[in-house]
Amino acid sequence: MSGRFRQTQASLHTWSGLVVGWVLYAMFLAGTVSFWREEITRWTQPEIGAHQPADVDVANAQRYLQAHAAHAAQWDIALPDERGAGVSVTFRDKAAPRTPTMAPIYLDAHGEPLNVRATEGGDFFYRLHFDMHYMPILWGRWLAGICAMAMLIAIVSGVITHKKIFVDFFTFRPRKGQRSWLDGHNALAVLALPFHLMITYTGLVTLMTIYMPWGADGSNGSRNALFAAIIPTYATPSASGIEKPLVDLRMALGEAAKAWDGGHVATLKITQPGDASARIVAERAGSDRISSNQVTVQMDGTTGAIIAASKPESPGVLTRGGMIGVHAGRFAPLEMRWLYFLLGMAGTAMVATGLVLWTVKRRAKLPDPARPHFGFRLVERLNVAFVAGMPLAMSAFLWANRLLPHDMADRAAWEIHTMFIVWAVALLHACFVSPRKAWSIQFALAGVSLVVLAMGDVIFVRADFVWIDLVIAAHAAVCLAIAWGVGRHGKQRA
Amino acid sequence: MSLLLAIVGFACLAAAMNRHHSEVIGGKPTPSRARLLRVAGSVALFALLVLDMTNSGAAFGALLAFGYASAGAGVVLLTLTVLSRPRVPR
Repeated sequence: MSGRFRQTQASLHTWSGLVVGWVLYAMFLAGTVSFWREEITRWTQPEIGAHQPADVDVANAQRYLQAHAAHAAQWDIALPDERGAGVSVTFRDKAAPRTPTMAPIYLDAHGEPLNVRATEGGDFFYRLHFDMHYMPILWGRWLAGICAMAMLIAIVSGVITHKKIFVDFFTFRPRKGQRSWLDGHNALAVLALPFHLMITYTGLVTLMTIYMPWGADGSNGSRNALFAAIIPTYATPSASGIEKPLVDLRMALGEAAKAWDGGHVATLKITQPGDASARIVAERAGSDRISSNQVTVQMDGTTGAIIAASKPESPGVLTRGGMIGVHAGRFAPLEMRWLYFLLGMAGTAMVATGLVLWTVKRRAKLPDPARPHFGFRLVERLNVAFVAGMPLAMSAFLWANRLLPHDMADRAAWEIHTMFIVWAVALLHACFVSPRKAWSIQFALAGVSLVVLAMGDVIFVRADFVWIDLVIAAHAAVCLAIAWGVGRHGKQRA
Repeated sequence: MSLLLAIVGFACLAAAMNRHHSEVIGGKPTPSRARLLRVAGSVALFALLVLDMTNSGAAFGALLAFGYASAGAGVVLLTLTVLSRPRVPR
């Protein structure tokens, strides 16, 4: 490969990485913590106790709905997977079946409704990962797509740029300034390269019908027709007027499991409960299989007999569903989930080291190091505000979850506002304080914030979900270690 | 077991390289030893893939094997960094 070609690739790598680097960092960090989406949601809803077996949850849900919504047009029951807790129900009135969806009612182990604090929980970080926030969802997704495409370009051009990919495979030379940053960036990139390539490519596939709609538009006549063909729908008869009791829903769980070789039910939708024309649609849990495509069965509501089932996936649909599934990792059991999480963290750190490397490389070449030009200062400060400011702001989200009044109006939205307010303050702080100070202060604050949060949670809130607090505390340790490292580095220089 | 295979595999591959061999064992590896280490490392990594794919199915096992490969390589890199530190002139 000619040196000239490598040079062009190096520039491509630098700039495709830098321009979108901050958003990419935010996407990587939010996406990585979203591998713990269910766990974060569970942490943010301490009112909900321990996980219950599915048949207990379903029996409770049926008893509650029978008592409070016997004549509804539709019931919806959402069962937690093994990682979550708390069954939740919603229903639709016969009089106004198209009313906006009601807030879910969570039930405790005895079937009593719980007064759960309003929160987006882990869903917030999950949506932040590809929808962004404070902007229309479609804009957010386009921004995410542009950044992901730039990431793919940066990965490929990065591999070409890296001169000694095999010779330096296991190399990290600490305390050597730019050399160490480059080694670290390379190691994080190369050792987890399969993951980085996979996660970026499959990430683009998740939203491919937005970015590349033409194929979907062309097949089946229109995009909506394609979705209708992929997503199983069933005929739901209207009420017959003949009363007939609903089957015990635990039986529906058993029937669905039989149809899916022991698979698990995620949701049950019951139309016209208590009527002879009642129907039950069970959706299979995403944790059961790699492919993310919906699998459902429809049952007769009075007998529990299976009437219809979703078609097996065609090869194309399975390929797409498989890629989305591999990206989101909903199927991953704990051991694999940890690998996903660690590799995601490696990706986050790769983006962060890349951003820092840009400044490290150019600092030595500045004409006047005391007064760097505007672009340099901008990058330097945005780096602090994103790389250190975002974990700090995310800890503020968790604090808001614990401290905001239970019955506050728009509580869930204010948890999110709190995070962005703290983030904005971090940005201002980064603008007015010298970068080295800002790095150590913001990382130290994030670390202290997280460790106090974890301890406070175990002492004051709940002691039945401690391992997630330990994970929070581990993050605190990492933040504090970085703050300490930056501080010590500063002293050495002075 | 998967992690162990990944670590052994990458440790062998690393030991076959001049730089790491001299850091940890001392001196350059003889060509035959380097070849042996490379073969052993490749066999271990291949065994990792076969083991995971037979235990957990082709798709799931392949994902798991790649995850462990990255984790194992990371462990080897950190170990080499620590082992070679005293020899780095400060």
